[in-house]
Amino acid sequence: MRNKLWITQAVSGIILLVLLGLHLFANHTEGGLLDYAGVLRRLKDPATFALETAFLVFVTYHALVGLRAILLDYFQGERAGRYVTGLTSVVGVVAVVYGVWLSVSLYLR
Amino acid sequence: MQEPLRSVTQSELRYSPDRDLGKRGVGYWAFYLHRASGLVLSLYLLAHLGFLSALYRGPEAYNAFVAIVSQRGMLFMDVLLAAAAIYHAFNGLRVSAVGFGLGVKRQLLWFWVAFGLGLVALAAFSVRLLGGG
Amino acid sequence: MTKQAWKPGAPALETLSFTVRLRRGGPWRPLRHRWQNFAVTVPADYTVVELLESIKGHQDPSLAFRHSCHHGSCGTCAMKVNGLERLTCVTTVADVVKEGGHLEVEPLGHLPWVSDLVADAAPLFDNLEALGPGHVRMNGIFAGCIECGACISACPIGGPRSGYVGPAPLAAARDALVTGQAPGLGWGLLLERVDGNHGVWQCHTAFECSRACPADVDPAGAIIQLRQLLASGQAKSLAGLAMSRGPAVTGAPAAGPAPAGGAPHDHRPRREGGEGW
Repeated sequence: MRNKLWITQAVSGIILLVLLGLHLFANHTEGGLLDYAGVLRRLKDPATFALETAFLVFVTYHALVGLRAILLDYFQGERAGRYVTGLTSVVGVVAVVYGVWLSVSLYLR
Repeated sequence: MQEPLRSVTQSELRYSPDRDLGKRGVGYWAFYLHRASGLVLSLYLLAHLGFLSALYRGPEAYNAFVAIVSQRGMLFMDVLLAAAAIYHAFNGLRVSAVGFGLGVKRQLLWFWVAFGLGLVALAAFSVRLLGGG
Repeated sequence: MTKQAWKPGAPALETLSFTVRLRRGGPWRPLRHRWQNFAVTVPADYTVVELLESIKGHQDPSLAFRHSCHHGSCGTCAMKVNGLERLTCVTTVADVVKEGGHLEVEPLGHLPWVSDLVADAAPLFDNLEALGPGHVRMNGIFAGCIECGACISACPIGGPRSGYVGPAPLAAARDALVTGQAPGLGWGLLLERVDGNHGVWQCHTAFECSRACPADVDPAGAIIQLRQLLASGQAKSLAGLAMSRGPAVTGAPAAGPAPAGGAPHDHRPRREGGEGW
């Protein structure tokens, strides 16, 4: 894991502290996101929409870079490195795309 | 160029079996717990994204899902998840700081500080979740 | 953890009677992961090496283990005693076992297992030669390293599976950079290795290496310093500075006109080629 990746991992972790806190706060206060109508209402608010999207991007990035680090501790070599990086990147992109698609389709309801 | 940083003092890191947690030191377990909690959280992330597809299927599906996970037993699982997240977050802060060269001299102490703060946070969260909110 | 110190004129030392469990076998033997128990009674201030010599002399001459200087400066006798890395020539049995107790000795982990209590430290030596400042060490974190391999064994991600170069080689690389002495691989490859997937960024700051080191080296601290040097770009400038000083200091075959006035004579063996420039 080169230094930029390590640094972004640490920084994204710190940012996630804030985002996770906000996410939980949004979820579990004033009815929040615990019922369908509440979810739709909240997502229409651009701030919440942005927060949830940012949270998704950062947490997926942090998780997949972490998984990559764990896998690279067990599989080494040039080829293994490329497969692991490729696999985790693909999973990450799919997760973010799915999440954004879901949010947008709910927003449009 | 002179040494950019003081080395970690050996007195803290000197091998001392009396201060073991079993065969390995605190740092060893801290690292593995960090990995384990990270794995748990990553799996939870993927599962969570999957569960949210209930939103797409409509109000009945989502509200039914929320009803299931709001049961007492499931809330307890939330506490476990929170424990993993809190440990990972606080220890992650320590790892980041030490990795950037902050607090290296007393890194073991910082681990326990982070752990203690984490316990406090977990207690507060649990009380909130299981008690009132 | 009482040490039994014997003074001249004092009565004979206490002896300790206990069971020793030793790892036996090796990859060349059809029997794998065999353990063997020995009942022993030895003076309490025997070192673990002396205990092993006693077992080899009186009970099983086929026991294989390495030892050399017997005073903690060569690093040959490092093994895992009760699961923790120790220099067995300066560890007394009274330190690690009680009367009637149980002592377990096995070879260092994360290094190729040769036989019984012998682990092959060649991967460590190769990495040290590749990344370290050579035979003449200037004052630095790595200076006291006795190359015993305890840090490699103690590191939670050490070993061939992870490909991690290990704490000692990285501490050596840090010293090479800071003191300007060229490593075996040359500066270019050094930076690539320590900055790569199996260099400093594979360390997860467990600090077990510094904890296990019997020579007061702090490889964890060195790795963190090395990270800062790499991240800030200082490592590159240090390497550049060292390269510009010329081949006489860095040990590669002289590529241009020799520096006037003569450079200090470099006693290190010449390396083949000059890769890494």
